[in-house]
Amino acid sequence: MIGQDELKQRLRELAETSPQGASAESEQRLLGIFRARQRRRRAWKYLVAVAASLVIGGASYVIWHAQGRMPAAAESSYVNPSGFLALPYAQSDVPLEHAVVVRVNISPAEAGALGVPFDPGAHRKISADLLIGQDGMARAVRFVP
Amino acid sequence: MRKTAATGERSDDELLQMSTRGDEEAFLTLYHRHQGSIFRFALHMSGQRETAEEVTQEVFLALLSESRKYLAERGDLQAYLIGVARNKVRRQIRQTRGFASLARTEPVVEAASFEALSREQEARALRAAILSLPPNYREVVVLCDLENMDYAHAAQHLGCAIGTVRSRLHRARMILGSKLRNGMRCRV
Repeated sequence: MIGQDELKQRLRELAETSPQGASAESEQRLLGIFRARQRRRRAWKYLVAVAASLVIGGASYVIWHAQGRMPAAAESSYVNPSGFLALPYAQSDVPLEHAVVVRVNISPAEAGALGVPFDPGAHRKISADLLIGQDGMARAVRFVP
Repeated sequence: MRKTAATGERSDDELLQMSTRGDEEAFLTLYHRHQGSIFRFALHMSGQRETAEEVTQEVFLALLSESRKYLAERGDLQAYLIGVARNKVRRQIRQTRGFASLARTEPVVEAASFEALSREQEARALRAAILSLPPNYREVVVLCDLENMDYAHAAQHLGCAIGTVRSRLHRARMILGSKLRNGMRCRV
């Protein structure tokens, strides 16, 4: 068996004569992978940003649209000082430029069709004023006592 | 140039954070700081330059993609990297079920003199003897004798007690001495 000192000396020589590091080609390959990863990461970030913008934009539109329609729904049940009751299906977003008031006698069933609840079992005709818009559609109704 | 000097002075932890954020210069600084020891460890453990290059590359890619696994309070970055390299080399060993023969890995000797030829033969014999050691023994020889690491650091790198490193190294040297003596007898 060779002595420990001789063995250590040989090990030292082996350490000194062995390659000390990875090749330059290996470094370039690694750098290439690193850069490719960064490109993919940037592309991914861009896609996420675009997707987030689309989601935020879509959500904003939906909220804005819902908010825009909410006053119309509120108006449908609005009773103005003249006693007219806005009909639920009336298009409140169409301006009322030329309106006429027409007095009619309607049955309770017809009043129900207008969206105004009345006892359907009653037979007595109801006298009401209909506010007709320029489009020919009834916008509001006022019941005459 | 100013930025290069600045990255060179930064700690491993800072460079790692910068690297994971995509700073190429920080990554290169980290690579140049540690690739040598990783490469040499893998080279002496596997006996193959290609394997050592591959392991070195995989270690640094793993560092980027799994940087959260490194915890500074558990030890320095080099110990962590050696640990990763150790696992990868062992996996390679399992996959190849041993090591490639020296005839495939060693270049043809082109010695200028008989003395140089003799030295080269001795180096080959020593490399073969190291490669024939069980991995546990080979690791301590590589770290303590070839990388000139002290027992405490080797123990930290290998995740074992200092006494274990000392006893493994003693046993490994005994085996190496015996193998080299037998090898020399064979040549004669």
